[in-house]
Amino acid sequence: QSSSTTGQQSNKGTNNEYEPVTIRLAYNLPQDHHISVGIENFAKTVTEKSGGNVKIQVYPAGQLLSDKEMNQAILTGGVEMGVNSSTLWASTVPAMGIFDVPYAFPNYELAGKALSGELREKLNKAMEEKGVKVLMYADYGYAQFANNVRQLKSPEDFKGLKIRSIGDIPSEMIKAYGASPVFLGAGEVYTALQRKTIDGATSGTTAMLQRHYDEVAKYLTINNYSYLEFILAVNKSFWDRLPEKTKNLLSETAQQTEQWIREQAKAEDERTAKELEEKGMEVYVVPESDLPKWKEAAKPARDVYIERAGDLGKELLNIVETIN
Amino acid sequence: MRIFSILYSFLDRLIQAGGAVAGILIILATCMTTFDVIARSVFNQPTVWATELCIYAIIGSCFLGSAYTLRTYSHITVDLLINIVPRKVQKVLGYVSNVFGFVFSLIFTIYSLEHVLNTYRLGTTSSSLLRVPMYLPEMFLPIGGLLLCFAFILQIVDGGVSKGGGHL
Amino acid sequence: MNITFFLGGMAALLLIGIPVAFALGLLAIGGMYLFNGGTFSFSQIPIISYKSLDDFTLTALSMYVLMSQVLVVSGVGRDLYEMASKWFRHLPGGLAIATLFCCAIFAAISGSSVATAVTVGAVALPEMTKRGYDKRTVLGLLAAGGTLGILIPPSVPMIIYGSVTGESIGKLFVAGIIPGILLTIIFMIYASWKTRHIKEKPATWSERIEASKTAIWGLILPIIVIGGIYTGVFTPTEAAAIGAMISILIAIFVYKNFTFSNIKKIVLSTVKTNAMILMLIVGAMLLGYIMTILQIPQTITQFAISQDVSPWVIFILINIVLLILGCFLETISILVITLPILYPIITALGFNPIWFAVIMVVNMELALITPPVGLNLFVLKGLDKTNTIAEIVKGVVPYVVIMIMFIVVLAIFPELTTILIGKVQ
Ligand code: NA
Ligand code: NA
Repeated sequence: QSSSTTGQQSNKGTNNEYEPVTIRLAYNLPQDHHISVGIENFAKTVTEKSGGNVKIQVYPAGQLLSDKEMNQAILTGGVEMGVNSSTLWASTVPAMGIFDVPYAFPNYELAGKALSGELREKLNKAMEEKGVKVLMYADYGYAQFANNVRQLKSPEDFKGLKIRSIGDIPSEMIKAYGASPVFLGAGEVYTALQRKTIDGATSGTTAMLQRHYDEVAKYLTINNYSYLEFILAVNKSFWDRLPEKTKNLLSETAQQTEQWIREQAKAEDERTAKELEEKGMEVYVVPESDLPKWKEAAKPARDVYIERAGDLGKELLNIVETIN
Repeated sequence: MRIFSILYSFLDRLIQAGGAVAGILIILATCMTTFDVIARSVFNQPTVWATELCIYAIIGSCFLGSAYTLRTYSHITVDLLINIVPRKVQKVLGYVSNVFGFVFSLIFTIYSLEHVLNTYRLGTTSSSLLRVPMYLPEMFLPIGGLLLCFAFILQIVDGGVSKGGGHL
Repeated sequence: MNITFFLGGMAALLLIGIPVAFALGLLAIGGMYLFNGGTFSFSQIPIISYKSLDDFTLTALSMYVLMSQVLVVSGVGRDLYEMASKWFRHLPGGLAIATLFCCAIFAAISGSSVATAVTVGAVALPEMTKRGYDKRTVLGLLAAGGTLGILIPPSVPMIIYGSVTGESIGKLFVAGIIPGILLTIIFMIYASWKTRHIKEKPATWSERIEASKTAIWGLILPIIVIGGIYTGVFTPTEAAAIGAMISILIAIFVYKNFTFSNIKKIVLSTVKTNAMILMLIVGAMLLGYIMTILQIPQTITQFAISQDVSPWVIFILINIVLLILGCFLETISILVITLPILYPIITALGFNPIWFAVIMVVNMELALITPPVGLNLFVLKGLDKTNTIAEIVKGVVPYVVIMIMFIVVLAIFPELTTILIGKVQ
C-alpha cells in the first residue's frame, strides 16, 4: 500500500540509490499554463533521475486544493509540496508582497537578477521561519488591465471604474488611481464583464486569453505593474527529514525548471498579448517614459507594503531599487 | 440529579443560542450584500468589506447553526432501515448513530481548535484590503464543533431516538 | 480495496440512521486514518471544512433559502393562485393549468422545489379537490410541478453545481430558463388533457385584472431576480440578497404579516435548511478530499473514458445511476457526492458542462418525486394527514415518464440549454 507511506521515507535503499519516498505536490493553475507545464516536467524529471525512488505525485489544476487553502495545507503537511502565488503567501509572510509592489520589477531580466541574489535569501529565510522551504520562484508574468469603458492612457483614466482585483496591494493601487476594487470569484469575472456588472479586471494576459476576456472586454492596457510570482514551497519539517542526496536532486531540478519557466514567462506574455490583439482587443502599451508617473501615483500601495512588511520590507525594496 | 437537569437545559439553551446567532448572521449577510449592490450600482462606489464579511457570516451560520439543526432533526437522514426494524433495534441504532456523530464532532472540534491556534501563531490574515486575522472567522469551526458535541450528548441522554429529517 | 471501504462504509453509516452530512464526514475520517497515515492527516479536517464554504457564490444559497422561507410565510402563493385560476379556469382542466402556472412563477422566485410544492400545494390542494378534481391527480400534479423550483432559476442545485465545478452560476441559471418553461408547458398540456372533463365558467375581465393587481408583487420578484442577473445589474449572489430583501419588504409593507412569531419561524427554518445543506457540502468535501488524495475519482474517470464505447453509452449509464441514486438519496447529497466524479468524466468526454448541469437538475427533479425517498412526496404527505404516499406516488408516475422523455429531448437538442447563453464554451 504505497499511500500509507506517503510523505515518509522508508529505510530501504542502498548508499548509491535514492531513498524511496512519495511526495505529494498540488497546484491550482490550469494544466496548460507554462508554470504547470514546468512543474509537471519537474516532477517527471525528479522521478526519472532518481530511478523511480523519489516519486512526485502531482494533483493538478486545483483538483486537491484551491489557492486559498494551499498554504495552510503545506504548512500542516497535508501535502508535502505546493505551488501558490506570492500574493497569497504575503498574508502569512508579509515580505512576500514585494512582487505586488507596483512597478518594483521593471523587466524580466531584472526580475530574474533580483531573484538570484540577496532578495531570494531574505525571502527564503522569512518563509522558513514560518515553516516552509522555498524550492522555486516560478514567474507567471506581468499583470495588466482589461476594461470596457476607455483606454487607460494615464492613471487618471481609472477614475470611477469598477475593477475586479487580485490581492490587497493591487487593490490599494486601484484605489490610489481613483477606481474601486471589486471582489468577485474567478468564475464570475467573464459574466460580470459581459453584463457590465464590473468595468474591468486585472490579471496576466495568459489568464485573460484562457478566460476569453477578448470576448467581453474592449481595451487592454499593458503597464506591467506587478510581476506575478508563484512559489513552489515544501513543508519544512518534511524537507529537513529528507536525505542530502534527495535534497540536492530536488534543488537542482527546481533550479533548472525555474530558468525554463522564466524564459517562458516572457514569451508567453508576448504571445498572449498579441493574440488578444488579434482577437480584437485594443492594446495600449504604456511608454517607458510615462511609467514614473504611473509609479508615483501608485505610491500609497508601496507605503502599505512597507507598513505591512516592516523593516524587512524596506530592506527588500532597497535591494530591488539598487538593482534597477 | 438536579445538577444534571440544570446542565441539560443550559446546554440546550446554548445550542438554541447558536441557532439564533446563525439566523442573525444570514440576515446580516443579506443586508451587507444588498448594501454593496446599492453602493456599487447607484453610487458607483462598491464597498471593500461586504463580500468578505458576507462569506464569514455564512460560514458562521453553518457551523453555529448545525447543532440546532441536529436537535430539531433537520439534518437529512436516510430512514429506510430505521422505519422497518423493530422498536428495540431502532433504539439501539439511535444510540449507535449518535455515538458515531459525537465521535465525528469531537475529532472535528479538537483539530479545528488546534488549527485556529496555529493560524493565530502564524499571524495569517485574509489577502484583501481588510486583512482580517484569519483565526477570527476560523473560530466558528471549534465553537460550532463544540455545540455539535453537546447536541450529540443531549441526543444520547434523550435515549435512542432516531428521527429522519429534511426540509428544503 | 479503498473503493469497497468507501461504498460499504457509506451504505452502513447511512442505513443505521446517521445524518448524511455526518456519515460523509465520518467516512472521510475513517479513510484518512486507514489509508493516509493515521491521525496525521486529521489536521486537514478544519482546512477542508473551512474551504468548502469559503466561496462568495455559495453565499447565494443561504439567501435564496431565506427568500423562500419569507415567501412561504407571506401570502404571495395564495394571491398568485387566485390570479392564475381567474385567468385559466375556463380552459379544460383549467385549475390544473393554473396550478402549474403558479408553480412556474413561484419556481422563478424561489431556489427550492420544496418551497414551491409547499406554497402552491397549500392553496391548490383544497381548492382543486373541492372543485371535483381527482385527489390522486392533484397530488401528482403538485409533486411534479413543485420540482420546477430547481429547474427554473434561481436554483439551489445549480448554485451547488457551479460552486463544486467552478462553472458560472449566471450561465447555469440562464441555461435552465428555456427547459424550465418547456417542461412547464409539457406538464400543462398533459394535466389539462388528463382533467379535460372539468371546465368552469370564465371569470370576467374585471375579476381577472383585480386578481392580477393583488398578485403583482409575486410577479415582480422573478422579473427583478432573473432580469437583474440577465442584464448584469447584479451577479446571481447579489440577486439572492436583493430578492430576499424585497421579499421581506413585501411581507412587511404589502402583506403586513411580519409579526414577531412569523419572523422567528422564518429565521429558524432558514437556519435549519441552511445548516443542513452547508453541512452536507462540508461532509462531501471532506470525503472528496481523501478520495482525491487516494486518486479514486481520477481512476474512475480514467476507466470511464478509456472504455471503447460511444460517449453516449456512458452518458446513458450516468443517467441510470442518477435515477437509481435519486430513489434513495436526497438531491443535494447526490450532487455533492457524485459531481467530483461525474464532472471530470463529462468534460473529458467532450460534453458541454452547462448542458450537463441542466440534465443533472432534471434528474434531481426526478429524485424529488421517486419513492422511497422523495422530498416532494413527503411534503405533500405533510400538507394533509389523509394523503398517503402510495396515492401520491401513483399520481406522480406519468410525470416521471414525461421527465425521463424530457431528458432524452435535452440530449437530442442541447441547444435548448445553450441558446440563451449565446456563447457556448
Ligand atoms: Na427556482
Ligand atoms: Na427519490
